[in-house]
Amino acid sequence: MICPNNTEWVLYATGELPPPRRSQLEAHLAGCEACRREAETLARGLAALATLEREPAPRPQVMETLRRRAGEVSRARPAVVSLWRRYRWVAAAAAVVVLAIGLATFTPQTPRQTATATPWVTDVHVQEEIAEITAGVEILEACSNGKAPDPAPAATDDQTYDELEFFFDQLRAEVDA
Amino acid sequence: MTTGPGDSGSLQTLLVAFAPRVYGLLFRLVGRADVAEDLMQETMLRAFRGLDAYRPEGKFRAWVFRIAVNLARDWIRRQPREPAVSLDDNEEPPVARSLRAMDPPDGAMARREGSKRVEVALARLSAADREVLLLRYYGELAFKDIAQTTGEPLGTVLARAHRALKKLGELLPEDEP
Repeated sequence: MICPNNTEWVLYATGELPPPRRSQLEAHLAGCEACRREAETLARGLAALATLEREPAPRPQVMETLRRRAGEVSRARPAVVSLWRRYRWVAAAAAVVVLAIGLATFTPQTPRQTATATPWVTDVHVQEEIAEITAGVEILEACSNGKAPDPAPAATDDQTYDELEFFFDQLRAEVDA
Repeated sequence: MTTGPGDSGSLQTLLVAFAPRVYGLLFRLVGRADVAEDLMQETMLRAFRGLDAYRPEGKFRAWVFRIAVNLARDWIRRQPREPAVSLDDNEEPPVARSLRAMDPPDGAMARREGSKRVEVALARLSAADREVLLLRYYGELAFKDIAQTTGEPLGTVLARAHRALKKLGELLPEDEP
């Protein structure tokens, strides 16, 4: 095997290389001293980066000022505040459609045991979709009530980021409309 | 952080999720806590005001970090031209000085010393290479999202990451960090 290029080693070190290629590189490492040194150096660079201290958060008074100023922006953008209310009906309509399609399409089978708020729906796929939509509505509702979704969002929580991105995707669609 | 009049839950969620990381990135890029606080506020406010400009084909997170990076670049460009980083290993980089100034009297000095070595190594990178690593560290962005954030081709970003990680790995002894 020809030695992989630098790009591949970066993706390998950071875990972004797809599994099949990753296995090939690992096999190559076993027999190539130069590449092994390369991979170790990159791993050491990453490990060093991870030891950087997280500096103190912005001062509380700065966050307070930001919150106040952002509140003024928010008041000027009623769509941000009211989005969830309108979106809730879209989600509810979607849930009805999913339910109808699910009932019309799937023959009742023995469902897997899943925790669901819709026990009358027997198809597990439909249950999962409804649960997903319901969770999205709950997040938006929690946001609109000034409460953090439960569990509270953490800055490092990728799920929170995804939820935010989902939220603002919807907002963008609404602005476009 | 509490919810005040005129504030919205979505706004609060956005601030809680993004502000500390945006601040962390800016602090490492500009090296000054007061400037990082100002730029962080400006980033978040611009994100809110500019929601219309956000296009959902990319990650919302990457979009916010792009605003922050552009503000940091502008600020750095406006500063008098002087070497921001000393190549002398014994000289403390600005970020390390700022961190030390904020350290409580009983701060863990040994931990700071270890982090300082990484700060020095990081400070010796080019600004563009450092930017890529910091976006990876604070934004936890995939390289394709970093490319979107910096406005550079993916290949360039990966080349920067490779160069930066390799330098960081080579500058630190094999038994560290």
